[in-house]
Amino acid sequence: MFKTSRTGRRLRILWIVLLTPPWLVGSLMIAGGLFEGDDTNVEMMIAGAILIGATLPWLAIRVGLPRLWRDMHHSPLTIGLAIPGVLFGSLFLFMGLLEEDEPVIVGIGLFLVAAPLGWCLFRAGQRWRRRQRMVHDLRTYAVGGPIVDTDPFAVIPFVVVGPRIYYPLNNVLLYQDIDQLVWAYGEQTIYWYQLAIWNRDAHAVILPIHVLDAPEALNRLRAVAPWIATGFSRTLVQTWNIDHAEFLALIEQHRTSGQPFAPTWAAGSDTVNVVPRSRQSSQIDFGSASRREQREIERVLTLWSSNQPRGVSLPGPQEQGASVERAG
Amino acid sequence: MSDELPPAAPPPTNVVHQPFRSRPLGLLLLVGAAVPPLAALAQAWFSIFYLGDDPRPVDLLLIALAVTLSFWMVKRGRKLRTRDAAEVLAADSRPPVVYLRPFRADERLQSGMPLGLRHGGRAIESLISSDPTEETLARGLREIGPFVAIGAPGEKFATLGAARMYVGDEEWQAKVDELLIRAAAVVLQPETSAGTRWEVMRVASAIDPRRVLLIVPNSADRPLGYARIRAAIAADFPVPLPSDCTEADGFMFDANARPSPLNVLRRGALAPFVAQVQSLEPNRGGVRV
Repeated sequence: MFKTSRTGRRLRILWIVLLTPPWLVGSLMIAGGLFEGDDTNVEMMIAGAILIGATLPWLAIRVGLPRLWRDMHHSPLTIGLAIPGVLFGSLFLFMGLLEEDEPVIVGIGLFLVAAPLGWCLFRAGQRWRRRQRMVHDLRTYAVGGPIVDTDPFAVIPFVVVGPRIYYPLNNVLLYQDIDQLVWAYGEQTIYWYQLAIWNRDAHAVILPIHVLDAPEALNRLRAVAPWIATGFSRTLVQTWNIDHAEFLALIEQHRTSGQPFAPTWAAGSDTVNVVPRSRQSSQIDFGSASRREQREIERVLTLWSSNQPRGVSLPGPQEQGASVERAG
Repeated sequence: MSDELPPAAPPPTNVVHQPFRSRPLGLLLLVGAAVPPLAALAQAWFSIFYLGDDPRPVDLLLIALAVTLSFWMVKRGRKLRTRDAAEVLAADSRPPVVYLRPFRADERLQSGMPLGLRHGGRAIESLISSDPTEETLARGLREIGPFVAIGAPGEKFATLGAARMYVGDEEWQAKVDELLIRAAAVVLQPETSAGTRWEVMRVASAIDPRRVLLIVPNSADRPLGYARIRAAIAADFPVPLPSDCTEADGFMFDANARPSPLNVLRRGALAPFVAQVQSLEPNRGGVRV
């Protein structure tokens, strides 16, 4: 079962609370438009449909219903345009066909239906072509074992071949050794989902994935690299950020012994709700937050790469002086 | 007019870099911090209620920027107004509370997300914030005496929390010894580096354990860090720290050096330690009573 965080459950409740009023009012307006007196009130029906239609794209993304649209799923804009377009286009068509001699309305309706669908098909084609190129590169260059996936990169954004994991990043097929992996978890906002896979050098590859496919992706990682930490918790973050050397040592210990990484303190949810970085947030803080983060990342990377031996011998008080690293 | 150049000044020896401090400038920043938000609010009020304009998103953005600037001015102003530890010790007759920690603790920031280089995907906020431990300690222990520490070399501005004194590489251990001798209490944050291990050894061997507050990684948030520190100080303290301690980030000790867990970041958590120190005889030379 794919576990979600408490924040995720709260978000789901928030979604229900937010979506219920427009759906209720919209349904009442459509019903009212249908049964108003002897005639139908088309305007009221349209208003009701608009109210409901505005919620559809977000609802579709949230519940992950349209698995068939996986290829366009990573772009909320695409769905945000497509669903209302089809919906309103259909209404225009309906109105145009109800009324006699309204070719303009029919034309608008046809355009509204065709344009978003065409855009979706174009985007899906783009992704399909890109994926085919990645698959071609994978079949050409991957070495070390057979490619087990029948349709690589279609559902899971990485492929494991022998001792390496292959993934597309910025339209280039990259790989790294599996024994370098240390940590994986999912990141989620209301719009999108992505998988973060960290390696020993504190580099993470971030792969967009459908939320419904994330459990399978994490399970595959657990199967090929049982020693890695999977899931997200405050304890794991603190341990990674501050007790980095011990964390890597523990992972390495699990890797060499072939044991799955499952200490009780590392238990967490598979996914974490994150806050997307926007240009607005940078404007508000003059970009100081990102500069501060950048400095902190540089600091910890320098610290982690310094490879200082731990447990140095303790100098006695008579050995005061240059041999002792300063503290205060 | 002689062609001879004046003799070159001898190079300064053992010059210790001091951070920039200016109490008047700090006061100016603190007072001036109110100006940007007030000006942004006044501008928004003027344009909406006087000129009759509609509220604009840019007004909200201006107010947010002004508040951010104001926070920055307050923080910088407080840093500029910090006093040197020597001044603080001269002005306060009580024995000091000495804070010993690795200098890395001063630099450390808290991040809600893993730190490292991300490739691909969407950028996310990592929710970076300052570590509140030192300022919490400073607030909680001010009843005992002035809270002082050795400053990290090369700081542009003094850190908030303990009053810093900046000393050279050759004299820091002597200065720590000098502070320990007159300390009413010692806050010790151990690490595995040689410098902090020397401090652990000095404190464990010379200071009454009832005067020692040990700051450790929170065992719930950083179990590996807690285990590392527990192992590192095991040889110095007669009674080892508990291995299965939950939610503790500090320990105080009784007369037999038996540790009691504390959660120092919680409000009022330091009260037992303050009461214990205040119940002791005044420190007479830092030696074990």
